[in-house]
Amino acid sequence: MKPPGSQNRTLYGVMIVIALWYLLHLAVRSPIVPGPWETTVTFFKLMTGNLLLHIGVSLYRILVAVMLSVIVGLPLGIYIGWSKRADKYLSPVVYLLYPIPKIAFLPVFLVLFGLGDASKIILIITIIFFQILLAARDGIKEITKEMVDSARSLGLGGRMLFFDLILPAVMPKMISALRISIGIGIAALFFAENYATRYGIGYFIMNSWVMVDYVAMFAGVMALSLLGILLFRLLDLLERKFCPWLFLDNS
Amino acid sequence: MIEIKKISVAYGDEEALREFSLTVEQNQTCAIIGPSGCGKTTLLYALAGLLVPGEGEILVHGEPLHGVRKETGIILQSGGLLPWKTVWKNVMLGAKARNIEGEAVQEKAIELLNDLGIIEQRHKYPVQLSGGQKQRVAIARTLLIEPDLLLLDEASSALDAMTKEHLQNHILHLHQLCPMTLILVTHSIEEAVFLGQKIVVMKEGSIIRTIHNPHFGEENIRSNPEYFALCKEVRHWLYEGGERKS
Repeated sequence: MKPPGSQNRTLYGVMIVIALWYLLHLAVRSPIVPGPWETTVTFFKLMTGNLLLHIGVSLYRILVAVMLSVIVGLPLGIYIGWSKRADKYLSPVVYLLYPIPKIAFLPVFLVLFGLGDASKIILIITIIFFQILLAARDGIKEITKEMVDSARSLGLGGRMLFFDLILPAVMPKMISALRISIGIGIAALFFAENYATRYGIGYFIMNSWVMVDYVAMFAGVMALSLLGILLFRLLDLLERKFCPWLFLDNS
Repeated sequence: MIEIKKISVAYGDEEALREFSLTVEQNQTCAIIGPSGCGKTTLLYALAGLLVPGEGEILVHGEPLHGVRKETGIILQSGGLLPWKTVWKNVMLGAKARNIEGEAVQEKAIELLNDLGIIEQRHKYPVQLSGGQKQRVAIARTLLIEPDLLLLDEASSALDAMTKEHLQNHILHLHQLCPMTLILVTHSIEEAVFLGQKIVVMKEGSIIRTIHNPHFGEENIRSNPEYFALCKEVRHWLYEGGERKS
């Protein structure tokens, strides 16, 4: 099949995924993999009811976690990238903490921060925070000494140095990091929502499974996928808005 | 007038400049030439206020230099353009830092881009430009802040022979249009003779010869026998003037 132009790329992707899904449904011949059509119908039915609320709660948890991670991770990453001293003292700590599987600490967070949203949000933050921080730190390395010297000789100081030099330099890496973080964050959230909550898409999917309502369960998986796609698209838009120089061939 | 009085700069144990003294008259051009590692770039950074000499002092128009000076422009080897800004925004950067982005400055920027033949490129990003165009953007950006002292650090070294000569013509033309003191560091003998009223040959952190260029700015200087004679003299001092008087 010939890949279509950029306009129809999404449609093309959707068609391929639905075709594969349908083939899987035919091959498995079990209610655990319902067909795309009945799932879609159920999805829209459920969206007028509870499912929308579950998606909303999950979206809220993800967005708060991402925002808090950026608010703390971005400046700290820039600081570590900019200051040799900070790099010397903080980077070893970051390197040690980054590879620890934070997801295993969910029970600890549940005890420390309660059964509500806080423990789930904090779990996601601990997972994606380091990615954001390291992206900001590495982004600083894109700034050459000549850029800094030229900027200084032109009289750029504090505020302008930050907004015209540092922030744009880290932006592309930041958006890449957010893409990865959101993927991982959604997976972590799904796990966290299996425990001690009655809201969230993770709860909805596992609850449907327990109730042996496989079509609803798949509608939940569909909702989770759409949530991911929505956030990815949002990042694409942000990238085009804030990093136009990365898209020169298309402009 | 720029007066450099016995400045010394060292990187660790390595001496880049040793009791270096030089005077450049106002609106004069001075080309500093020497092999890699002779301290010429260090000298330029010190003149830009981006580097503080360990000893000695630099006087710019009689005032001792402390840090970056508003009226000094510097153009570095790779231009130092910001890749995320269009040509126009790069050019306006210095004006933005000085809060003088008004209509008059914008008109001047357009004029400069026109003079330098890059007006068509104003909406482009640096990555879309050729090496010569990038350097001309860097020049426009620096000239917009109306420097009285312009420093060039091997500004044409990354360019091919023809583009190099074009850029040199542009620089000479601009110097004639708006008088300013021009100090350039180069490792090209032809560039030094073409752009320097005063040619300073350096080796190991000191001056080994100062040559005055009476033919500076003459039309078609590149095809004059005197130009070749000067090039020959500079070459002689570069290659054979190594025995430094201590």
